[in-house]
Amino acid sequence: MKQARWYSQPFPPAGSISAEGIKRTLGKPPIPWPAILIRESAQNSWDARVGGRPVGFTINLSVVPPQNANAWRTLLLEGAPHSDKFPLRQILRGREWHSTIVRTLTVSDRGTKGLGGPTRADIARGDEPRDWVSFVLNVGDPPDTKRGGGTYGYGKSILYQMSRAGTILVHTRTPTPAGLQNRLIGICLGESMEIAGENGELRPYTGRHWWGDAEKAHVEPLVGVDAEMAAKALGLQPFDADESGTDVIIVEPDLGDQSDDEAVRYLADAIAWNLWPILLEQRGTERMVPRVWHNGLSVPVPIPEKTRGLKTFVAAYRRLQEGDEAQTLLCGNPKKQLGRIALERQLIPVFEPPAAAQDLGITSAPHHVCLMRAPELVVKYHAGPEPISANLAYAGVFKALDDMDRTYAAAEPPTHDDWVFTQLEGLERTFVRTTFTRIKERLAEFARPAEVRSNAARAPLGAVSNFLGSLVAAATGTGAASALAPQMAPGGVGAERGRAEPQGNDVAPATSTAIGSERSERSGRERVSIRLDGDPYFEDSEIGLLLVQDALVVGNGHLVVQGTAGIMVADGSREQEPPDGFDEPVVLGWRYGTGERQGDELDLSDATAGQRVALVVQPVPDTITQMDISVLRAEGKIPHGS
Amino acid sequence: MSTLYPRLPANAAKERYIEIRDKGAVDLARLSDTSHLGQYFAATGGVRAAQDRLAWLRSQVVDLAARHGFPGRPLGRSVHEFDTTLARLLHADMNLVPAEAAVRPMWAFLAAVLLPDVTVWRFPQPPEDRLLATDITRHVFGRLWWRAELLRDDVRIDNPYHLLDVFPERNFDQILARRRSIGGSPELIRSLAKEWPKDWTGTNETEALRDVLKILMRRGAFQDLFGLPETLLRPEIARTILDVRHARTRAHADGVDEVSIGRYVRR
Repeated sequence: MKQARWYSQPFPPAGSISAEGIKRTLGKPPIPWPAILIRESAQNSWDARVGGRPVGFTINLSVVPPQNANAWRTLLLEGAPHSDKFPLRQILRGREWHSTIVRTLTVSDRGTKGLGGPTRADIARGDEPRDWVSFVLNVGDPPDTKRGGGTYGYGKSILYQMSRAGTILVHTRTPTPAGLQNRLIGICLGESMEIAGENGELRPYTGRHWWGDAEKAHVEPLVGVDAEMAAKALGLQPFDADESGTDVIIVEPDLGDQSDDEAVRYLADAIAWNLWPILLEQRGTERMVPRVWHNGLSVPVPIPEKTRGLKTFVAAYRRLQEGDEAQTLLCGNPKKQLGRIALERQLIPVFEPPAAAQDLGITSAPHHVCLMRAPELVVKYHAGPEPISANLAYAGVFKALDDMDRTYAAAEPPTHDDWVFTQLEGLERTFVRTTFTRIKERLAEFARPAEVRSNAARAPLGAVSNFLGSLVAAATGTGAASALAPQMAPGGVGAERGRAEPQGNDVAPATSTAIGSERSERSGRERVSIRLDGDPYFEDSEIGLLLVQDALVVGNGHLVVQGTAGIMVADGSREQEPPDGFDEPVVLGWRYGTGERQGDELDLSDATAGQRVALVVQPVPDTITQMDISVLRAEGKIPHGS
Repeated sequence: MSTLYPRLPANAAKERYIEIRDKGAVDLARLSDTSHLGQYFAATGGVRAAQDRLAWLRSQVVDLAARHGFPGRPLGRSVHEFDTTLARLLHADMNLVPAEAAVRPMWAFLAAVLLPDVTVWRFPQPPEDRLLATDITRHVFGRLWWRAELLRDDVRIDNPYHLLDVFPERNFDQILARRRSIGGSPELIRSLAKEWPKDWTGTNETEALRDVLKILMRRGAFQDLFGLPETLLRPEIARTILDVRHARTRAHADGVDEVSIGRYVRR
């Protein structure tokens, strides 16, 4: 068996970058390190996917098992430089942290191809993969993965920065011409130092060290049986016979001020909020399956489709996928298609997003557009205008078109968490800058209150009284809200939203022949009624929070409607009488056209089809408000000449 | 294993009711019996109560009633004390499971066959439901068993029925009237009883309880009050009681001001 030992890189006569210099390539990122760790390592794992099966992505915070602790000390200190700038020695000896327990944070991926290719950097590679060289040896290799998320691989320096020892172990299993091969190496990115050599002469070292099969001027990984035996001695997770992948073990991770419990919770949330587009179940095998472990216990990773706040983004993403009201954003001069955007609005209870989401800028109900490129990783949540109510969240997804991918990638800082047009030149700069302008315009249009939603269902509701009961949690309630508004009838106008259309066009009476039988049938009956339009929504007004239900007149004639509001109680019924001294919801009145009327009744002597009215109710905090609109009197217009 | 009691079919119970409703307690002692020709038992679910067990139960109840003046003297002021003691006795001694205690003919047998004299002594010229348990929450015995069931506090091993004294009957009826919602949760009712203040000077206790229940009904529409453990439920209920006290002492809110119906405020 080969004896693995440390090799410290001396400065070559021609000079080299020092370890400190490499660490600085990442800059001062605006988001915390654990979040960057997730983003960077998940991106690497995602780019390395084999395909045909989901990528397993696992984070495991654990300790070195006592039975392996001795092996860690004997194997991992072999040949280590005697310097206080190599802290692994102190940590493994238990001197620095007054404890011999060494924690490890392992980032694993499976269903990935592992780190393959040659194991020394001075071999010309042509088109061969060179993952090993890029990850273990070089710094700042240009990207080769097609449409990959990574650019120059600066992100990996986060792995060293997370370790108090500046040390990671890389354990990988990768296909080679001779079959799957295990490789194991230790890497330390410490500080540059000067050490006396065998002849007592001081020599400068870059601060980069490798642990493995040390040769004259570089280190080969332990491979095959050597790697397996060393991994077993160190207590590393073995690979199954037919699986490939990579484990990166961060020695003694520095998780900041958080307790370990908080830290793993944060990591789990960060996985959901940073990686959700590639976690979605709808992707089938082309997705990532995350897991988080802490000392042998599973920590649940929030499921994006079911997580409050995040599911609004998922809904927008689905719209984008299905082309449901998705729009293509254009640059006018020069003419260029930039990317596609879809938006989704949802009524959600007030909630506080987890810390991992807050660090990404989502501090209350989402009002953001998630920016992404072809790899479908979250670049950034771009904030839009605040919604009109704390309960009304909206979310968007903007995805760059494939042929624009390089432009947006070039605008990203090393941490891939923004698009900075100022770091571009010429047309590219214009494109990225225009993108943000277009998103802003689109949001201004979308975030406006609900008049925007004007599409009409074709099915008249025959009943004299329309049951419009809609339930939403009022004001500051902490309960869940549900809206029971009738769905749009099939055959509704659908995708084309009447933003610029004159109101009422959609439900114009018999004169229009555009839509055939359904419409003429209704005009024959000439029934007049009312139909609610969309869900009730909250509105901030000068007299406090109000609950508003939009409705549309169907048919022409004399229409008298009455609105009522009450509180729904535990058994599902409506409260008869409020407790003494407590409020009950009040029907303030109606809005119609430009006017308004106080009181619960609205008398429209000449109601016309498509006319909009809105019932305004003052809700009571901490209750569920039930609103009803009923038709008291409906007289259709007598057709002329009969 | 729980105990199954004889059940009296509706027709027989009605006949029996007509027979005893206008009689006095003294006359009815002769009519009491530990079995009835029409009686039947549940097919399964426990051990059938033998006649000596029924006789023993009768003697327990009669002894208790005798201490309160039965059969000669009317009950008078000690109604509340008699009811709570009887509730304890029934719940502790009958060995019933709730499923069995929800069966009306079982209670009809108890009131019309086993203890008709105590029944008419407690409710002279009783209306039908006091005997037949058409509404168990009004039955002479059934309502007491259920009150004990809902208020039994197993934490207090020394006196699990200490909460029975908290609410007078008409107040507890308000809780039972909402039995489909909040009345169905023993945890909720126990917490309410534990937090219920003794002193209601200056405030109408019955109305206050009604208001507290109304607020809990409001909350129950979106909050699962049944699912909370007692440690979390009690502060919630204490706060609700406090809110009601303040609201009741506060002057009624003025009517809705004549203001516009509000316009959306642009930011």
